[in-house]
Amino acid sequence: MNDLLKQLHELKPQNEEYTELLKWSRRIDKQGLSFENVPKIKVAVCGSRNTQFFTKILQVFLMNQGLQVSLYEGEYDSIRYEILNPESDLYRFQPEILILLPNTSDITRYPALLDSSKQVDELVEETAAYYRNLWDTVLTQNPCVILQANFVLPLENALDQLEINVPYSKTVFISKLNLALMDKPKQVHLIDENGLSNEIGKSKWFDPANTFLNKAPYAYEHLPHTVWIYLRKIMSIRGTYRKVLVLDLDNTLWGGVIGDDGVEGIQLDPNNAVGEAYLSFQSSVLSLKEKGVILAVCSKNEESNAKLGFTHPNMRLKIQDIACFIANWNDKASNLKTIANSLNVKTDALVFFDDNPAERLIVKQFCPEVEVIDVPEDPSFYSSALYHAHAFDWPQITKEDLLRIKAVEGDLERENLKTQFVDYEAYLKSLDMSAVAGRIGTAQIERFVQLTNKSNQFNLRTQRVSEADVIEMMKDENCACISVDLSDRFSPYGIIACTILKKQGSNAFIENWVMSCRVLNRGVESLTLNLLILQAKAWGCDRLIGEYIPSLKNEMVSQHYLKMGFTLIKENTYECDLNKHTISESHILLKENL
Amino acid sequence: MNILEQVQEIFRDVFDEETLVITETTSAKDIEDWDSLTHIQLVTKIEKHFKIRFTVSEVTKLKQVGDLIQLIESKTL
Repeated sequence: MNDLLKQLHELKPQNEEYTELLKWSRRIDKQGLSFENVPKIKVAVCGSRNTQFFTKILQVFLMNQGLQVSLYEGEYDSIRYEILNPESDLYRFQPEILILLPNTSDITRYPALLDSSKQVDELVEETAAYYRNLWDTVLTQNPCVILQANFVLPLENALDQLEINVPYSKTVFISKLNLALMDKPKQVHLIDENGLSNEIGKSKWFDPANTFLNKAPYAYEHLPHTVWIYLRKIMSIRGTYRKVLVLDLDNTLWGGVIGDDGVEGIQLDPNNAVGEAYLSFQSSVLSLKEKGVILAVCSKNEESNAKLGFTHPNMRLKIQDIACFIANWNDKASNLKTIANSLNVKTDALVFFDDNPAERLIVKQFCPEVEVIDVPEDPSFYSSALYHAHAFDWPQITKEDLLRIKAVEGDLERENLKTQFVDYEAYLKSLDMSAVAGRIGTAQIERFVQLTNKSNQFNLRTQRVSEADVIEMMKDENCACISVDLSDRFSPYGIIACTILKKQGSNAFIENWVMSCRVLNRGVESLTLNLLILQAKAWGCDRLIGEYIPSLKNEMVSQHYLKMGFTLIKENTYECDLNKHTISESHILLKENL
Repeated sequence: MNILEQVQEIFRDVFDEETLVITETTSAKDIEDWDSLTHIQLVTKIEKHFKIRFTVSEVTKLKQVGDLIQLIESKTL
């Protein structure tokens, strides 16, 4: 990598000024900066506002993440033209991701004064239908993921306080419209620009001079933050997002030092401002846990002392909430690696929250892939710092995210059970595993996409898919998207394996095969293979072909097809003769075919 | 540093050219990258640096560096 690319990679673009990012954009163009051997993603931007700076800065953000991008920018105010004209350049470009940036000023019809709620709702529905029609048109013509900004509520309103007291005000209308847009196809993701304008403060957000001069709806200084939301959405749709929050204890979860102050001495008093701040931070952490974030502790302490803190009667976080508890005197960088290993994730899935700036510096230096939150000095602002980092901005919450917490807790019991058995087979039997498996239906799409995109280690070809792709494949009779939903006696796991099989004449080609590492060596591999064989036979194929494409992270499955009884036919390509192969027995009871 | 020198620093930063030299008569046709987009960046940077704000009509009338200097002078006096 050349020096400039390295500098670009180290940039934290969300903290830079927009002028600095535009400078980077020019450097990229002038010097033809690009990554070798990185596939391009195709992103189109269409707006009824000036999108030039937005698009340029988006490119800087994407390249900062190591992504190569091919961009298409529609003409000014071109949303309707690009989408409704089947011959438009937008369709010629065939975007994978389409960013639609409408403006609140696009809304030309508002309720008349004194309109009833019913009349207002009708107009809301009519306006929302216009956008739904645009989305459907795009998705039929060019399956892709659509990111659309919601409407920003203006700062100044003619009706003043009446705005929130009467049904026909602009404030009510736009709020209802934003809610109505939630009724959308799965491929459409709304981006909360209105929320961002609130976070920044509307009087700072708007800049009328910039609007009149440059047709920009907000002050350009907010571009980095705005583009950052779109970037996070794109990354999370592609499966790059964080899963684990690693917490320090002393002066992070409670005030004081447990080793010195003892359990009675630490500050967790709900009647004390400082104690209240720590408790409120714990509540914020718990609300992240509820949505599926895995919690870990990394503390410089004697383990017995560290755990003592959790016996404090005011603690909101309980020891059971912590999936991985590390308290020792080792450096935190190596402890983070231990935590990642024991939770079966890569260190780039970790977010680190520690009040000690020295520890944060060490982690930043030795584990740059870990997201380190800049923790403020005053615990009153811990929750804000945690939320404002937007470290867990997930594209969706699936049943599996919520089940994972249970499963991680069940792991301990499963480990205990394992030590009671000498024979692994007997252990597997004792788990009473059962599965619901087969070709997916609409209910499984979201999770299928999520697992396919976020699996890095057990992933044979690292083929990423969008919901649009999966919907297309489900319609194709020469294509099968197969998933396995597993449970055992301790917990349900949800969908933990996904494959895509494609009929190619008398061959059935395994386009993709991913599995959650949490269920490695439980027999899910052979159950999945059985499903692939059955599907291939149903198509009348003679051979099942599997390919391994090496990536930075999938070394663990390099021998997968050999282990499954395939034979090597050329480098990294394997076949299984369906006329000879017999279905293997599994410890997993196939309860139900999807 | 006089105003011209300070403005020159800003020009060097925006155009990413450490040796760029400007005079009062420098205009968009003298600097290859000086287009409507870099113009906006120049204005942002200058406003921020001198802690001033140009009106819309002032921004649209700026033709050459001399105009800029005069405006800055009138607003920072």
